Amino acid sequence: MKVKIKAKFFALPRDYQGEREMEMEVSEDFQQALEEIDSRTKIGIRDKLDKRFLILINGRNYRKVLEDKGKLEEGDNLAFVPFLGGG
Amino acid sequence: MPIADHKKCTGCHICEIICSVHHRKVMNPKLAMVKVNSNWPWEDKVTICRQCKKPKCVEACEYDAIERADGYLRINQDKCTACLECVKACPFDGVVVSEITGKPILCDICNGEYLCVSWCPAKVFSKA
Amino acid sequence: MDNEKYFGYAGKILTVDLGSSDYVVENTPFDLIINFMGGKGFGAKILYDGLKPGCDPLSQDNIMVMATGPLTGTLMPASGHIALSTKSPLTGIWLDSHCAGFFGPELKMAGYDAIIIKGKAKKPTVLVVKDDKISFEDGKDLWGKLIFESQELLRQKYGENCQFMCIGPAGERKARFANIVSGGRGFGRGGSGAVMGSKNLKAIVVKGTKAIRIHDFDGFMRMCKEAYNELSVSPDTGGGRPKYGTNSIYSFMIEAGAHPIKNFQTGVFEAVKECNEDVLDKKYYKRHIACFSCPINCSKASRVDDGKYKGKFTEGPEYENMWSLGAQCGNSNIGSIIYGEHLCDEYGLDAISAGNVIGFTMECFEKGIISEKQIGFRANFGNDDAIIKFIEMMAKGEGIGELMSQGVRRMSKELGKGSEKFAMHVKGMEMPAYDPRGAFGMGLAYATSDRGACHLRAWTLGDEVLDVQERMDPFATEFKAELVKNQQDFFAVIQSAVVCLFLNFGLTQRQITRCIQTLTGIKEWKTTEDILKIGERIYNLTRLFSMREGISRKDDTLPERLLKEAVKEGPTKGVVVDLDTMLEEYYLVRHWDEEGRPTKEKLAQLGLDKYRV
Repeated sequence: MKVKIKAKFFALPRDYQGEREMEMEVSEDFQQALEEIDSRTKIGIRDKLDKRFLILINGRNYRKVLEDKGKLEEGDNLAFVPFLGGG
Repeated sequence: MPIADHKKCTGCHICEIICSVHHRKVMNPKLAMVKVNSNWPWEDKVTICRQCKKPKCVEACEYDAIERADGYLRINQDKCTACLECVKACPFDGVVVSEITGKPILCDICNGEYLCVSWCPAKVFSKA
Repeated sequence: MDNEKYFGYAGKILTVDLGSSDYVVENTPFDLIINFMGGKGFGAKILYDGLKPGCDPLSQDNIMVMATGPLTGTLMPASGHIALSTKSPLTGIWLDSHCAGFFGPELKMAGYDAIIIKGKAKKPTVLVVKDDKISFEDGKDLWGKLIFESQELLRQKYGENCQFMCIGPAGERKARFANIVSGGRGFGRGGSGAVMGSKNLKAIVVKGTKAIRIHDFDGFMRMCKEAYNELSVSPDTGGGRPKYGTNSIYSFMIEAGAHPIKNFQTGVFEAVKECNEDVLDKKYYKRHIACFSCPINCSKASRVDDGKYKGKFTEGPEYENMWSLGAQCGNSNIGSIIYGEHLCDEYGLDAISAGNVIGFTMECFEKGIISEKQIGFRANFGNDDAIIKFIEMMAKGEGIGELMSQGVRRMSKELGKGSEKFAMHVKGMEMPAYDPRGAFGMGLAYATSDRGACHLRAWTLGDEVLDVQERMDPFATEFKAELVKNQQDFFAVIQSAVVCLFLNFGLTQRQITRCIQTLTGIKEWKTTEDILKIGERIYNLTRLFSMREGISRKDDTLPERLLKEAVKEGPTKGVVVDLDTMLEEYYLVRHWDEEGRPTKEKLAQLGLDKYRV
């Protein structure tokens, strides 16, 4: 099943992508959705996930969210963020 | 013969530190054969000898203190009088003046290893 | 001890008495090194033992300890920092402040692990330290001059190869959050510039030509190489930080609701579309700048190319100042932020405190607590002209600027009318650029930081918001006490080694301690735990220092706005901080009693048993 999500890009991920926000329709299965996101964006997220970048779903670490609900839902916000350091 | 691209230099002085560590086994950037000059905030300029094939410094030295040996130019510290004509003559601003002795120093290319080239995080140096 | 050999260390401490223009040079005591390492640690021990409790920080009784640590000035990446410890005129308690750049390495090359400054000079003075030559020179020609002009004049007089520490007019008139500038960096927070001004010390000049020795040469070289490589592949220090500087987190903090807007009134900042790290990178950043031995080059030189502030430039702007002169004041004009930050450096004011106080003043104006007549102009949020005017007024002590420059705690006390509820400070130190309602751990961090509200003793946001270990929740109290304590202790090690805190975002604790071990060869530091214990010892000692100056559990708190007033919109809508739960757990984890006092057992374990609370 397909769901409509909003993808937001910050700092380096946004640098790769060239824009701040995108709306897209993706598979509700997360791994499948990542494949689809890779084909439509310039980030190469599957290679970089957990190594250089993270995904937060509605503000929470994607792993935790998927543990809770198992799949993406209509209206989910996906934030593509770099690992954070203070300043 | 490392060539420095000033625009990339961030002013970190790692080239100076690694130069002193490699040659003297202690950390003292003031002993280095390469030097970073600060023009805050817009520029940091690196001074390093380019090992020219037709060196203007050799021409300018009245005391024959600059000689070529073992594949690189070097200053004979006994003959050098610190007149600093070589510094003025170099068209690339490549002669470092030691803060400690007041005498000029030339890069000795680290036996071809060029440590400043491999350690520089901003990729300022390239080998010519 | 006989035949002490110093590796990493310079081996000497210089103590200067400005009143008598005299000085003494002594060997750096080995037990001071083993138990307190350097930097902040040296400051804690020397000040606890040597400073008169209850003394006025702006009197001749106050003491400044400027100290590097073993890693400073070496091949270790990001080793350009120096620590300054003193009693703060802003908070009245412990202060340690750290300056990046090149002053620390130069001091060590001159042959000193620390300079201790006592007394007060009879007239404006410049202290000159050139290797073994110490002199007290006349500073009256520089007194009154702005900082960059002063540094340029000093450069012309003493040469290109020196480093300087300099106060501006704000420090000279003892504004309580005046800073000290060195090159393009500074000792920002807590009013160290006012302490220097109260001593009639305009500047310190240092020139050094000595070498620093390495104990385990091959081991240290290997560790440094490993550290450089690790920093370049780490996602933060090898990615966002070199490119965007400290602003790599900017839009994300706003997204997370952790960037305080308009004096912590709201969590929504509409202007983020024109004011963010992307715009900075494309329009304002002109060049990357690094500190001594640093591959991260987080600093930037920025310039405004058009508009009202055309031509204005700064080394920066930092994330903290993008906030304090930006969102804190409801301002999105980047040109004004760049100009404002530079003005703070010219006059010598802490830009974080300055912006916090300006935002507070704007809220007081909008609420009618201060009138347009009292200020001299309208001071609504978003008025960038007002921000610039306020900076100058605070620096010079003009009009309401005099009260503002005493800090938000004193100002709100003077104004009354409920303004104390939204004076955003802890223990008198103005709060920096994170809203604890967006990450509870920062609430605990602010409440228990040893110098008042500060983000550099524990920075929990990465762990909380990204939740890499998958057990954190920014709006929960669980696990925060442990996180804050561990960071405070480890950061104290970094602040005593003295290196840059950003190493923490690229290297492991073990890598950093291995660098210290191979460099110094100190036998007592066999394990990482031995070194971490030093951090814990230091953090307990600064706690004792501040308790001796009068703080207690009631001061480990947050402003009422964060505890009772929920944000009405945005990502943190409805949230208030549950500090009590975290604080109780924090005291347990620290082995402090319910009043927040280190227990006898904990002090004994750390070798601090002779100190009482």
